Amino acid sequence: MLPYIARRLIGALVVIVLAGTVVFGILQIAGDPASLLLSSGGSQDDLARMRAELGLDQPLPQRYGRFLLGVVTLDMGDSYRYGEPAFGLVLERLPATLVLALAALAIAVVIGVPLGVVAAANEDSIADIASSFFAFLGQAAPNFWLGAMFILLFSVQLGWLPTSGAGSPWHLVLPAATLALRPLAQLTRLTRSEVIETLCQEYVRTAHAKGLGPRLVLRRHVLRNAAIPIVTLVGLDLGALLGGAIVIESVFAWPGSGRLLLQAIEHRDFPVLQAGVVVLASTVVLINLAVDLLYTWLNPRVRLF
Amino acid sequence: MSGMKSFRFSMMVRSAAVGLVLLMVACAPLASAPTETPRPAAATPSTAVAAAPSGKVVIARSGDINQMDPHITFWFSDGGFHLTLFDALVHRDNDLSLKPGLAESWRNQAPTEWVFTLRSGVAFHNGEPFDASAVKSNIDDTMKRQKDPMFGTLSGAEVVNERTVKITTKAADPLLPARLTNLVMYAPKYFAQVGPEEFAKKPIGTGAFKFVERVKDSHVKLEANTTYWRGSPKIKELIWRVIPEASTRLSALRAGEVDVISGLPNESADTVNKTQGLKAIGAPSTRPQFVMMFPGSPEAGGQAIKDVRVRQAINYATNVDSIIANILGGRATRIAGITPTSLDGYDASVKPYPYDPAKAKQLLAEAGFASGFDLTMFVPSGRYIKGEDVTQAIAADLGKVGIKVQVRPIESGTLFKLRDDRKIAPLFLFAWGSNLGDAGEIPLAVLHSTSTNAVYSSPALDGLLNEAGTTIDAAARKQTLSKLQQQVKDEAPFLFLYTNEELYGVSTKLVGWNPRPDDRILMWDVTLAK
Repeated sequence: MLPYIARRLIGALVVIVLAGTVVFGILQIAGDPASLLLSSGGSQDDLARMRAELGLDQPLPQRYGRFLLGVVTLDMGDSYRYGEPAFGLVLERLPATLVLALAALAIAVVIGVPLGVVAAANEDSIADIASSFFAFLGQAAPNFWLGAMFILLFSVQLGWLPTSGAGSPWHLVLPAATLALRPLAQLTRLTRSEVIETLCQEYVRTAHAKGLGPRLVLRRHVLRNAAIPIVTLVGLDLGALLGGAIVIESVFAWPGSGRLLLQAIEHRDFPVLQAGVVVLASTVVLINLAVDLLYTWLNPRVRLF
Repeated sequence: MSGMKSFRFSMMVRSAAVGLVLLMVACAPLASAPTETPRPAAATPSTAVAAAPSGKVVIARSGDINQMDPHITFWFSDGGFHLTLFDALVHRDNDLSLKPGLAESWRNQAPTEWVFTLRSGVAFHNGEPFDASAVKSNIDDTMKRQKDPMFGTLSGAEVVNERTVKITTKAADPLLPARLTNLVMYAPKYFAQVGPEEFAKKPIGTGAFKFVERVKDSHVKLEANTTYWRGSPKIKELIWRVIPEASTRLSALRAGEVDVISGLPNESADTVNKTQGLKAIGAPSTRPQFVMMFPGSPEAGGQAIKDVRVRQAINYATNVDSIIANILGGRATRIAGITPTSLDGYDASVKPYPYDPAKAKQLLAEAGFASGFDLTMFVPSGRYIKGEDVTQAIAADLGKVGIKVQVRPIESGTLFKLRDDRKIAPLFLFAWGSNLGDAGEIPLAVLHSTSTNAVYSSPALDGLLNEAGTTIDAAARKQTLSKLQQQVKDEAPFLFLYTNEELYGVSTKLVGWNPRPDDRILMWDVTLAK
């Protein structure tokens, strides 16, 4: 197993460098951060001085080399805007985004999977139709709008929850619930169709014939096999949630890394953007690796290595 | 159910779901219409002033503080916050007039030499004394680390005695006192002891409030400095919160979580005024909005606007008053040029171009464009209040005199890059704020031939700007500034518009606070109604 993991990690490094290179390339043509930093609109000399300060006057190969070194040493330099080490800024804010993404995913899994199973087990019943309905709703409605509506209802009108910010578990409820809606909807529908398909399999009929109760069949045979695509989706969702949390973080003033990166784009804050890409790419790659390793536990017949 | 029936049924269910979503979206305006949220009635302020500060005030803004360390890069938007923790030698009062701050008085004793007499008996939050050597340390540090060219004219500071400092500039700089309103004083011994990184985590100044804690992009907590030299603040706790979305900020105000919000959208003002316990108040900002013109632009219309008559025609053809009334809900102040009314040296005798489409057509005909011409106008997406709507209105007005305008929204950073590469459209919406509160500052930034922001310049304007930049005598300088404002109007390098109003939503519990034109929120003498 270890050689396999080692191979995967080297592959991960290649992916991270590639992703970083793409961002590095785009930033070179995206605009000049130096002029955005001159508050009083200086002269050409001032601009030249600022560019030298930021290291933007060095030739491209040298800057790219510096970037590659930075990936390995985890040092992208100081943020142009905040004057602090870029990696530090991203890593400081990452836990908040992870908390939000994991909470949303937890809600989606804990509600979505059982809902999908119930719907599948009672195909075409009222429960099934109702869950389809809500799943569709969750995927269709724009979540920033839903977020604002939830704030109006639960915070302003009812006063049950805080409107925004972080600092207590209550602050996490609305943003996590809003962020959870889309993955919840997807998971419900996927679980439902996977379970329905698995229920038609030969071995399930065999299990029933053996005399096993329906609950046991569900747990031991159906869910274990239906789980693989579900686990894949959950893994992909986590990666997507890390990126998609940007909007929810803005609506709920949640101090995560999504907001940091959004602002860094506007300010052309190269160090922060480069650090952000490296951190996010690493996270997604590591999640994928974990999901792949999980397969082997779920289905011993899957051979990865 | 049979296969076909169940398929049809589930399709019905899905369609119903779509319908419901559309209905919900359509009802959004109704859902966000306010109902009367019960709030504590604003009582009259108690006449007996409490000896110890009490109460908490929460301010919510859209952006976080960029840097706690005031001497790295200058951000005007950080200035309001910095003035809570720190003070500067010179202070701009609520009407933006220059007043003594940590310096009681100052005089210019030679073109490049200024002498400041400091207030005595002032100490930093950690007990360090504020004196001339503290000033020298701050100025030396600014000269060493501050990247922004605003303080580039400083050449040194010299301790004359404990209460007197001599500050020298590289060349005659009439704006030195104005610059110093942005140079706040931190505790130098503490800074030297802990270094910049630790300092930024726990900053210490002489200000009305002391630092307690900070969570980036979330909030900063401050508490009253009871030995403040202007007198102890009456409120005990001050919290600055970051809430980026305007709708969430407004919800936080209505839910009673915050007491002041900045950046209130114009259309929410009525909502706020109708809510018991809240009010919307504004002040004309120090940030003029205008349309920059780039003669020689490669896009459509670039050649036509080389002619001053065409540029003036564009000004005559645009009904700015109507834009202010109809698109901005009256929340803007018309200005003749690019000088907001609150700046030092503003000349009210320079009048705006009147709305006169006939005169516009006449000027266009004289310039050889009797049948009009095509013109491209860029607007940076989402950057300016109602920017897209305003440019559409301008396009409509220009269309009436024969100028066919195509408006294109472009992402801000990209737009500035196009400007730097000299590929930008002949007209683009822009704004530039004043950091120094002086009428010469904005024209210098956007019109001087050496400025990176300028896409138009002229020898006449350069001459006046250079003169204003070096004349120390106040009366003579005021005359130069008046001439400058008139010249800017006559050359019409811009389509002149207005200054937006800085709108705030405020709880009526807060007594004694009014917005300032420079968007700095100062809470030294604010009290809370019981």
